[in-house]
Amino acid sequence: MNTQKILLTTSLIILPILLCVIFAHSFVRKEIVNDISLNPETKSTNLAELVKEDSNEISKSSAIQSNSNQTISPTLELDDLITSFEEEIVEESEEQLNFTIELMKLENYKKSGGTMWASEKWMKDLDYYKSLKTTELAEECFSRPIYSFEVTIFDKPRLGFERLKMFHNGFQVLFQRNDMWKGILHTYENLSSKLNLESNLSTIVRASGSLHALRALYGFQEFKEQVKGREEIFLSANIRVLKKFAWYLENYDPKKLGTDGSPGFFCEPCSVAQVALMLTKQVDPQRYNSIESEIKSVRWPEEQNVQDLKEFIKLVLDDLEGVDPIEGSETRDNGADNN
Amino acid sequence: MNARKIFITRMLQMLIFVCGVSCVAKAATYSWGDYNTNCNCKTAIVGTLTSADYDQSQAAQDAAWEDFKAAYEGLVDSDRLGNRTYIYNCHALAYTVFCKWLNGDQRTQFHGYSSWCWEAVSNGEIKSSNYHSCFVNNWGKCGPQFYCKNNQYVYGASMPTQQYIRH
Repeated sequence: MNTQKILLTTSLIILPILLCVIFAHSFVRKEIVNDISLNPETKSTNLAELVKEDSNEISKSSAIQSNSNQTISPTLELDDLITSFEEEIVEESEEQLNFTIELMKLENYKKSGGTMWASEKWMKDLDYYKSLKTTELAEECFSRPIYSFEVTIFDKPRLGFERLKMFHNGFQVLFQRNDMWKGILHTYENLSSKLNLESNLSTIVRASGSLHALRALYGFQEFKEQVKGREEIFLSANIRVLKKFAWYLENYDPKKLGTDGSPGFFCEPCSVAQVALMLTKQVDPQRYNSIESEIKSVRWPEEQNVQDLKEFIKLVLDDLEGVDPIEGSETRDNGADNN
Repeated sequence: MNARKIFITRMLQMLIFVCGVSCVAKAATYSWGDYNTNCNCKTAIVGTLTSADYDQSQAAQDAAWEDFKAAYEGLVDSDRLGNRTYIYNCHALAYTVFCKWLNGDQRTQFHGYSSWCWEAVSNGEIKSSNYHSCFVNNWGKCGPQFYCKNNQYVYGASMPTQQYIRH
């Protein structure tokens, strides 16, 4: 009897303590969840939502991984590209503030005599660049790989564009020209002409890298404004470049390049294809809608395979067959005539 | 009456036992260490869909790196340039692997961010959390994409492709 009383009393004491512990445990957890939502970036988010998001990624991931290692999508950036071209990007005030601070730092750096890319050794006066025709100016600007580096190394290419404007006299002039679009069209032709069998690896890497980086221009306000209404011309230019890549892939000599088989590029034609698809959406939305899912469903294994690349380019070119209104009125550049 | 007391006692004992087991299980799931550091870091399964990469051959990477060094004189291999976040593809181009943060070492800048953060650590695990303190003194990146800590994966060495296990 005594034992039972002791047990009863002990139980009555321990139970509230345990309840307190459990309550405190939940409270601490709740506090942590609240801690996340205090930040404006995640104000509308809670842990449950984040977990849910994560779960979506899990199912996506599982779906991909169930088919061996099919992990690469050559059109992964396509939707972002379309958004950046079609919509005006409004940045959060905090982001805008950070950007302004970055610009101020750069301006101070320039005022104190700072230069970039060792430009003091090769850059000419502003007047020289002003004196050039736009096509010549573009040729001079893209003669160095600076553009492709600057728009590649930042999360937001915008910062790269600002740095080019501020520290490169040539780009400063080019970006202010009303016919900048002519310079960029010329750049497509000029760079793709370097994808020929006589070019060494360095030239191929540089030319394809710059062609790849031209994609960033379609989110650059000054350029976007000039492309609007001229989408067909740029679509045509991108299709021509894509054909040139296809031609090069069929004809290059890996031994001569010294790459053990690879052509010196891989993602670069994918970027050109994405621009072509984005412009197709502007020029012929119905066509785009009919091909979108097929092209977006392409997946590759992680290890690069030139055959995959060839097939993807072929798929895009086949799907875009006839969409280019300029194509019929011009001599087709299948690449061979540039060699 | 005795039977009633015994019944209540037994019920309370069972309740205590259940609560005890529950607490132990809970403690195993969320370690106290996590609360102490306010850091619920975990290894996560993540979307491994990635964009196509640059040519990964040694020769092509070397060519790109030579151009990059020429453009940004004075860089050394351990420097980082730019703040680029890489989509989960740690093959990465040579010059992006050897990059330099413009504002210097930004490790502490992970304080103040609470968006979802990722870190691909050298053993191939992906750490994810929205507790920024998980990434203090570690390279990591907050945002929808990965920052690959890929110094170990230069020149086309493969990132692990195994299914990541989520705790």
